[in-house]
Order: sequence, then C-alpha cells, then structure tokens
Amino acid sequence: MERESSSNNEQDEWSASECGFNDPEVQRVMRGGSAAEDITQYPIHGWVDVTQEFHEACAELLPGELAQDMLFGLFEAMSAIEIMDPKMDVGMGFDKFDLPPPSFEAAVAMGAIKLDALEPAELIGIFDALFACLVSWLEGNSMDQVLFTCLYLHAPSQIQDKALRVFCIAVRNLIVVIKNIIILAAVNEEEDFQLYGNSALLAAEKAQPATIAGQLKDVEDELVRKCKKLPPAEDQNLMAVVHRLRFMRHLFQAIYQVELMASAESAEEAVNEIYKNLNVASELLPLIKRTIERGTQPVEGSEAPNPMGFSPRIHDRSQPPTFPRSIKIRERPASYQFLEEMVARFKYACKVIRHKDYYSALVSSSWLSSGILFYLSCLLQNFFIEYSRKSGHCILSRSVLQNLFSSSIRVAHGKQSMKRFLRHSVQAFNSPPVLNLKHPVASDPKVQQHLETFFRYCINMNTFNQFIRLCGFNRARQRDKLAHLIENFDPLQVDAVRLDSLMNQMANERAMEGNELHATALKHSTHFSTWVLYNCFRAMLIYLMSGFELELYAVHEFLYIYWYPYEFLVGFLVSALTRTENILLAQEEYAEHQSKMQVNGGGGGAGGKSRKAAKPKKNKKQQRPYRQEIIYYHALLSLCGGMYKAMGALTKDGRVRLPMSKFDNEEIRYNRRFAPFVPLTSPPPVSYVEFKSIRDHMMLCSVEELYSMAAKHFDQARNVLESIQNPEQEILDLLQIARTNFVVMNVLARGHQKEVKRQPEFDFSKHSYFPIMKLK
Amino acid sequence: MSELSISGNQVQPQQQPTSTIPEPFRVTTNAPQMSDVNLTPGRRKLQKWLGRVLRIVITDGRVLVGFFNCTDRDANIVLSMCAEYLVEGQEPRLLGNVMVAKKHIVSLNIDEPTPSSSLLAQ
Repeated sequence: MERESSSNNEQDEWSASECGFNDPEVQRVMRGGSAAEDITQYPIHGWVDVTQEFHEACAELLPGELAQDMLFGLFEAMSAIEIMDPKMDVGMGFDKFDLPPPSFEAAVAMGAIKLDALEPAELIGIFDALFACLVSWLEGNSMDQVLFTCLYLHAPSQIQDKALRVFCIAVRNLIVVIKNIIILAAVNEEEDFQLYGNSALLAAEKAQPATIAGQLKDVEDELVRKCKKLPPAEDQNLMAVVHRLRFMRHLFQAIYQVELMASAESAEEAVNEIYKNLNVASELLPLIKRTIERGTQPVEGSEAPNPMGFSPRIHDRSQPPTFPRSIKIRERPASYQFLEEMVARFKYACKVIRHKDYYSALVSSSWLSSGILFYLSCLLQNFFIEYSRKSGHCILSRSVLQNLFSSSIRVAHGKQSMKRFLRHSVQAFNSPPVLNLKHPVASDPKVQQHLETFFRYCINMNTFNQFIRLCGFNRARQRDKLAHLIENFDPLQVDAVRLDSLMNQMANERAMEGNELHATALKHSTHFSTWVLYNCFRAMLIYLMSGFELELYAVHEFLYIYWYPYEFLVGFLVSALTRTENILLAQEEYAEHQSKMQVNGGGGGAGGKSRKAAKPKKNKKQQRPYRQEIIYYHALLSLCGGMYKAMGALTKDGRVRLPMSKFDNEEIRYNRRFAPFVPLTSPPPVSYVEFKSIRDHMMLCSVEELYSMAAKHFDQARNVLESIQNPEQEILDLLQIARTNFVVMNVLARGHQKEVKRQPEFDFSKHSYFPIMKLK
Repeated sequence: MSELSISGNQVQPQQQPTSTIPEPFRVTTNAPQMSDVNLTPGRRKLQKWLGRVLRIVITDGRVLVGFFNCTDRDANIVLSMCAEYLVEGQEPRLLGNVMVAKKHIVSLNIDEPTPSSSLLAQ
C-alpha cells in the first residue's frame, strides 16, 4: 500500500513529458520553442564567457548531486557520446590544419595512386588488403569504414590495369551478392553485421555478377601467358597474383550460386557446382598464404591496410555519430585463416544438404526406411545446432546454410514445402500409419481433414520453422529467441493432444464398424503429441544449457541448472524416445502379424511371400536408430546428475563462493532462470519450494557421501559412453569429462585438501555443457 | 524501493558525514514545479543556464555547441543536439547527445542576452 501511494505521489509530481523519454525533437517542440530548432543558428544573443563562474557554481553541488534539465533522464545520459573517448569520438584527433582525407580524384591528381602498370608486389598487397577488409566487414564493421576506404573500389572503371580493375569489380559485386544472401536469410542482428553502407558508392557502377567469372578468367589467362614468357625464377610474383584472382573467381562463383539457388530448379546440381568451386578455392588458399610476404605490407603504425590505394578516414565524418571511431582491420594471415575456415564450413553445409536430399527422396517411398530419415533429420537438427556452435560469429556462414536449406526443401517438396517437411518430420520420428500414404487409413477423408488442420496450425504457429531458423542467429540472440519459441510450443501441444484423442475416438468408431485395419492404425496413437513434446524438450534443453556457453551462470547457480535436466528434462526425452520406439515396434509386430495372416490365408503355395514376411525381422536393428540417441541422453542424464550432486557436495563442503546473504535471494534467481518454462502446461513448471525441498533432502547426506554419489554418476556416464561404437569427437570429449570428474570426486570424497576450502575451477573448454572440475 | 527513485529529491543519504550540514541529497532542476527559493547562488545560476545553448571549447580545439542538459560537481557536462565544429563557421557535424568530461574543457560560453551581447566572445 505504501509503495503504491508513494508512486502516486511521484506521478503527481512528474508528468510524462518531464521523465525524459521523448526524443529531443519532440522535447523542443513541447517546451514551446520553434519546431525543429536548428542548433547551428545559435548564438541568438551572443556568447558570454562563463568558464570561471560555471566551475564555481558546480563546486557548490554536493558529490553525486546533479543539476539537470527537466527533460534530462537516464536515456539521455546513456546515449551520450563521450567526447575524447578514443572508442566513441570519431571527431577526435582531427586537426583543423589537416588536409581532408584524399578522395579517389584527389589521390589520382596527386599521383598518390597508380592506375596503370602496377607491379605484381603492389597487386598482391592491394588484393590481400581487400580480402582483409572483406573479412573485417563480415565481422560486423561498417563497409564504409573498411572496404570503401579502398579508393580503387570507388571508381573501378577508371583503372587501366586490367587485373586490378577486374578484381575491384569482383569485390564490388561480391559485396552486393553477400548482402543479398544475408538479407534473404535474415538471421543477422545489428551486432553481427552492418547491412547499410554508402550505397551511393556502390550504385555508381552497376553490378553484373554473371559476368565476373568470365572477366576474372580472361585476366588470369592473360597473366598466365605472360608468366610463361618470363624466366622461371621471375614468374613467382605474377603467379601469386594469378592465384589470388583464381581464388576470387571460385569464391565468388560459390557465393553467387548460393544466391541463385533461391530460384534454381535443381538443388542437387547447384550444390554440386558450389561444392566444386569451394574445393578449388580451398586448395588455392595454402598457396596464397605462403606468398603473403611477396606483397607490399602495411606501414607500421598506419591505419591503412596497404600503403597504396587506401584512405582510412575518408568516411569518418559521414558516419552516424554513434559509430565506433577506430576500426581494426584484420591482419592478412588471420584474414586468410578466416576465409579458410569459412570455406570449410560452406563445404560442410553442402555435404549435409546433399545427403538430406538423397534420403528424403528415398523415404517417401517406404516407411521402413523412415528410421533412417529420422536419424538424418535428427542429424540435420543436431547439425544446425552444431553448425551454429562452430560458425558462431560468421554471419555469412550462417546465412549460407539457411539459404541452402530453405532452397533445398523448396526444390525437394515444391510449393507446400513446409507442410511436407513437417509431415516428413513426424513420419520420420514415429511413422504414424495415418501419414503413410500406402496405408488405406490415410485416404479416410476425416483423417485427412484433421491432419490438414493440425499441420496448418503448425505452419501458422511457425514454431518448427523458427526452430531451424533460430539456429542461424548468433548464440546470444538464439537463447533469447528460444525463450519465446518455447512458449509457442504450448498451444501446439494442446492441438497435438487433441488430434491424438480424435484419432483414438475414430479408432473406437471404426472398431464398432468392424473395420479392424483402420481401428488398429488409429488406436493408441500418441504420435503427434510425442513429436511435439520431443521437440519442445530439446528446445528447453538447449535453452538451459546454452547459458553455460554464454557464461551467464554463476558457479553457485550450477546446482539447480543441472538439477532440472537431471530430474526432469533428460528423463522426459528418454521416455519420449522410448515410447516412440515401443509404438514403432508394436506397429511392426502388427504389420508382421498381418502379413502372416495374409500368407496363411493365401495358402502355402507362395514361397516368395513368406520370405517377404521374414524380412522385417532383419531390419529390426535398423528400426532402432533412436538407440543411439537414447544412449546419448542416458549419458547426459548421468552427467547432469553427477554435476548436480557434485555442486551439492561442493556447496556443503564450503568450496563454492556464495553471494552475501544480505544481497541474495535465491528464489528470484531461480525463477528468472526458469522463467521461459512457466507458460508450458507440459512439463508443468516446478516451483522454487519444490526444488528447495528436493535439494534439502539431498543435502541431508554427509559431504563424503555426496561426493561419492556424484562419482557414481560420472562412472555411470563413463560406462554408457564407452558402450557407444564409433564415437564422434563430442562423445570422446564427454568421456574425458566423465573420467576426470570421476577421479576428482573420488579424491574429494577421501578428504583431499580438507583444510583448504578453495573453489575448484570449472573448465568448459572441452564441452559447452559440462565442465571438467579442476582442483587448484 | 522508494528510496531509489529517480526523482532523487526524496532520497535520504545513506551515510552522512558528520562534519557536513545534513542537507538532503538533491537534484537542481529548472522544472517549474520545483522552484526552490532557498537555492544557493551557484545552483541558482546553473538552474538559469539549464536548457540554454552552451558553447564548449575543448582541449583539441574543437568547438561543441548544444543545449546544456546536465552537470555535476566535477563540471562534467552533457549537451543535447550538439553540433561539432572543427573550425567555427564551417559546416558542423551533428552529434546528438554528448558528454564532455571536465578535463577536456577549455572554456564555456552561454548564449545569453546581456547589455554587452554585441561583443562576441572568442
């Protein structure tokens, strides 16, 4: 009550106009001055020096006291640029006697840049510097402050040297193409990438991306011919130029084709073509890296990436005032390293897209192979998640994958691509008979209608679409968006449950009608709700665990973060998968039973048929591709359990630094951490009180007991992980984590370092979810 | 939470040094409702200047002209709708909100009607 009344008082005192949230333009108007006041028209009366007076007046203020305009608020305070701050103040360091930074025309007139007959060393220097600028642009800098500091890019048509001209034209076109790809994928955020730059400069000469490869090829051939005439010792530099031109050509072609894929007819062909180009590009990179020092190098202490052709501060004063002042352009070797990794990521993306296409074509013909597709769609989703982890901050890599994926499902499934994709996804997950086009029940109009409604709803909710798209964003944004996505799963779950119960209801009706085949196909189906739940659980798990990667959690919070997946999430996932497996096995048995009945009914004459009936048994192993995943989640479960108990033990042992109780409220922190899960009805949210009672119960054990319980969990994890055949790198890393933590827990259980209660180090370098605990 | 409210003038200092006068923590503002007859002369001056146009010459020779928005005991100044002149009279660059720390301030001029207003300060 008291709080309410005080806030009322405040409202009386401060009307909205005085809180300072309006933009300055509006403020001036409100104050009654003329609209759109122009600061440049001042002084109206004349300047009066108040330096001394002002300082004396300020001295009367108390420490922390402000003399502030009635419209001044936190927003104004936060958005102010600090003058003379080297990072914020673009205007800093200008001398009024300085010449303005040279423009293209000025530089030509002064003879500062050569337009013709450039030495190979000069060309190498400029090319390398331009690649460095390109990389710096992709890293999020404004193109004006990196790429367009190169004067040659301003007017390539005026360059006489053919190699340089064509290269510059290629860079300009590359800029346009890359921009298009990133806009199309729309997974960029302001912190990743600056879309907007001085478009006037780009517009000056028209982009013709289709002609670039040919032009580059011409110059290459010309230079190669020139090389042949030179004595063998002298052609090295020229060959280095050729390699750069060739690299540019293949890189350009690969990226350009990604853009074209949006409208391509055949995804397969395009991806193959892209892959080929990438291959050549990656083969050229080592050659280029070896010849970096053959080019002219940037002058020590200069901001220009190359001695000739760059005017670093040319656009500084045309930038928005809030732009960072100084840009660090990547060094050349590091830039090529970046390009090398980027090309490798593109190749990786192509590979998976190719496989996916292949298998999805395979799967629509028979539901037996759906297991394979499920495995692949899992792989695909895992792949998206994995890819996003690897490419983290490279916006182009992330955009390219999104484009490749969306155009390949478009090509594979035609117009209603997303619906088909979702159907496949469910079919692949647990192959409900209603989705099997060969099954007679699939043609039941009522069934079709219900399915149609459900999928349309899914598409309208956009949840699954979002899930894949979301993986394209940078990691921090991803988590943010996941929180909203999780919320969306709730209505979907409701709808899926409704669909399942409708199916069951229809099963009863059909059974009454005596249509046993249809009844069995429809009965006991929890297909759709399981599918939705499974996806929801995965999103929740990623959300929770990504906090470790982003270093959001304090060590004393680890306990409940690991507790939740241990107690609930991973267990849910395992049970969802097990349920699915059981449904599938039951279906398979029924199908077998049916075919046997048919065989028996048709008489013993058909030997071929009986062989057919025996076949599914052979496939049983293929039928259980979830085994792998279930085992993986079992390992995750043990690891979470181990970490949970380990944190409990460490906390009880006094080895975890806790916040001062005066400033601490664990309940608030707990509620915040799990806030996105609250809107879900299933799984139901777990209140802090429940958590607390579970933890208190655990904490009754002695420290030694807790340590050995944790050790037991890690041991279990190790056993499970060791049982996996042909383990991937991730499994090996987890194995190492489980082993090491097992040893550490045992050591602590035996009372090692009992006197020194130091917090162990948590090293997340092996895996982003689980640390290796290290005693110092 | 009310003791943390932005309006500041209700806030009691947490720890008062015994030597100084127990004056409540305060914000001097030119908001019409807040007119306080007991302001010290310096505060009164600042109150008068708030919202006026201020010209600051800083250590590297640039001139910043903007609306005087806020200052503190150390004479750190916030200007809004600020224009930056490399050379006065030439085309300025518009910066928006800026904060100038005391150590960079060379001189301050206020746009004020005075009898001697025809004399332009350097």
